[in-house]
Amino acid sequence: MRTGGALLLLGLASCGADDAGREPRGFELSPVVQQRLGALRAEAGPSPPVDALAQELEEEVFGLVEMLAYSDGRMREIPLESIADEFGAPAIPTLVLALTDEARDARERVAAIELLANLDHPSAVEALLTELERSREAYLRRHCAWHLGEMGADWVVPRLCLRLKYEQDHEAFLWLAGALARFRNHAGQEALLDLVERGVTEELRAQAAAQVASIAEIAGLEPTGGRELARLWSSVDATLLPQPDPSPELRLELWRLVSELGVEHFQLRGVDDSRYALSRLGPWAAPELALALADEDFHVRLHVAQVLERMGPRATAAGAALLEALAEPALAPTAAEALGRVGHPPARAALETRTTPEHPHALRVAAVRALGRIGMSESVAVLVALFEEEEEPRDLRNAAATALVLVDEGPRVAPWLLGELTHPDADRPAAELALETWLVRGAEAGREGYSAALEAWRTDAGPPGITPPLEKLDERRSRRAQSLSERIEGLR
Amino acid sequence: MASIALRVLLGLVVLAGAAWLVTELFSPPEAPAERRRWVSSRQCRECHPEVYAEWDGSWHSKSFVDPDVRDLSKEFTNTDCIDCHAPRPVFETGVGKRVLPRSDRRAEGVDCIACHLLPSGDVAGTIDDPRAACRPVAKLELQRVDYCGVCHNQHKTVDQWRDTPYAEQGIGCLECHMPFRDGDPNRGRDHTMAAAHDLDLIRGAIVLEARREGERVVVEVENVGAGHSYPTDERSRASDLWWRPVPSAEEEAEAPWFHLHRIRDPYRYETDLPRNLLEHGERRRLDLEDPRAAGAVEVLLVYKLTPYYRDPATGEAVAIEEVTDPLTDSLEVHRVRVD
Repeated sequence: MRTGGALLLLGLASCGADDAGREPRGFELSPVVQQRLGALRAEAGPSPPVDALAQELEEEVFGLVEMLAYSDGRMREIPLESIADEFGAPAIPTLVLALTDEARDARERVAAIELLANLDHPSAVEALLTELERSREAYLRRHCAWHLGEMGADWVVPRLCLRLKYEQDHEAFLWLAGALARFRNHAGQEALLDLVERGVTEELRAQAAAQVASIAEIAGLEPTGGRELARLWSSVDATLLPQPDPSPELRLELWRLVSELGVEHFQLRGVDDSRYALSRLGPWAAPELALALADEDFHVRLHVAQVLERMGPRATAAGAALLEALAEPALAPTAAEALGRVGHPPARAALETRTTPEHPHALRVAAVRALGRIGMSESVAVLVALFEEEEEPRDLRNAAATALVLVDEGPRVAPWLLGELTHPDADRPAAELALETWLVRGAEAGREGYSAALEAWRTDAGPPGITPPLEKLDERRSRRAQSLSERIEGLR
Repeated sequence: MASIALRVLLGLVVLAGAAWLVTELFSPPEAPAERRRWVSSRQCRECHPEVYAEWDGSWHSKSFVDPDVRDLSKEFTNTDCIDCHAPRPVFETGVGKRVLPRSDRRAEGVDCIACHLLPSGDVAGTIDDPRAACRPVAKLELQRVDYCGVCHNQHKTVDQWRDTPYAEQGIGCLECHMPFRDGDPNRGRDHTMAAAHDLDLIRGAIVLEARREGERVVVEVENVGAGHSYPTDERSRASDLWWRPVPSAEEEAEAPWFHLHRIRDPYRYETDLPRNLLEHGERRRLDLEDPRAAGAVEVLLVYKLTPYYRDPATGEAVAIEEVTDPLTDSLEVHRVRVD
């Protein structure tokens, strides 16, 4: 993409309510990803080289590893200073040998991590990241995670985010979430709070609680503000939290992950990983990602729209660009879904326009769903008209009914959803979810009869944790339909 | 007299034939059907009730509503799963290309539209007939393994097939999973698409044998028929071998089952588990040397649609060593007895 085009997009990404009612025009497509990668590689410059270490000095490095492993107090400072002052980056390959040598004592392997962390060099960071990603030893992963947070190289953030997906050791997870928080990323916060409540040991729960308190303070909140931090991170107010100043290397990592979304990659697992990591970045990433909506590769455009959808309100800065993406027919349904999750009110008019029959069915459904999630009462008339039109396809009416539940019009659609709960041609799981949402919202708002109805609904669910087979699920839905139909008159 | 009547009759036949020929030659051709908008596979039911019923009973139709999938995907809040469980039409995203998710009719899962709709709005089939309501266009791509591979090779099933003799013989996915109805090409292909949920298919593909050799019981399991590894697919599938002593006549209670061997391709984060799928044609020998197996024993091969065993009372996953009755959460493939 030409620089002017990129600036235009950045401008779009930053504009807001002014674009309400304007018909999207779309993008001029170009190799955005390649151009961004090229520009950022130039900005970041080449990685500093790692000179070879003279062979006779290798033993001295191993000696420092052992000295650090088996000394304490001020004696530990000697190898830590020595590795930085006397050896520097050339010691990295030798330290990696010590770190990955399974025959070595655990203390020596941890010492190798400490020494690597004391070297201010990208190759040392890479060595710790690689160990975090590949090591089978949880204690090594814990140490790597903590040190990566301390080392201050922010380009590790996307790869730390991806570790949130794969890390199985709860204690390593604690340090991972802590490291991310040091880079103003709170993607690990929800799971951390879960560990505070459900950690398998008392010690782990206490450790998690301490980590939550420490992270809240890093984020400028009271130590008790862990829950509030999680809420902010998942909301449009994520921008109110202290923001990082992403380095060119970090933005380069972002674009490297975006490039993994291209059509040339067949396997979804790499795409899944990229989507996972990208969607856990902070608000700063949204305008960058919005640029990729103009890339010439359709797969990139579509998956980036999905990433923004998964970021939700944290990606509010990409709202205007997503609105433009509605102009591209194949991309429009995914862009519409993303606009709904991001919650971009200026898109309301364009989305309502796209619910009319001349638009492709998939786009109509996605637009209806988005209108429900944006949740503006102004959309009620459009949604009601779609819901009440019996000639409309069943999934469109279901989407409209669900959207009406979200804009507080549940009583209007609940009787129809009850019928859908047992109809063989219906999306029965969707009807069930919509009805549950309606009951939960009513109960939370303290409306009369809703709490009792919700309790009965949950009683009919069967034992928690059990996944019933399909036929049992249909029995459950019949029970719920029967039970709720007896109460529905009283729920207004 | 008879000769005259015969001549008249013959003349009438010739005249009728000529009239038909003239009509066919000079009447305007039947106009192509108006292109319809396909918003649900239920529309296909109107003209193809048999195919529709087969598909409706298949697991392709349940890919978005299957309770196990909804559980694992947390009601599809893990939207990664939508790509294959509610895909866009393959002809739209490209045969052999990565599959992409769709926004509409998700509850219909992998449906008629996902496999047959062409970007033009016409429908891919086995004949060209613009006059038919769905305006079918013959597309050989429907028979290609790459066609199924857009989803099924995400877990390397098609790659596994390429390493079997079936690939050289040109025996693709359809020959086992969508055979001609009653073996008759004129009756079209069976759309029940039998696979992992079909025990007969699994039983025909896998052999289990056991015999005693001195002190030990030798168990052998062989993939004789699957045109890919057994089980194929990572993460979700597994197959376990179990054994137990056969109780003597005076013993009332049945002995618990003991785990012998697991066949599985672990999920990507299960880095401490080996991949040990049973490749096509592979015969695997397992020696059972246990004092409890000194008498008669039963050996059981089960197929698992989820890799873990769940406590029937709580639904919680339990460690395999704690399982005493594997059949509460698996399908019995074979059971053999060694005296």
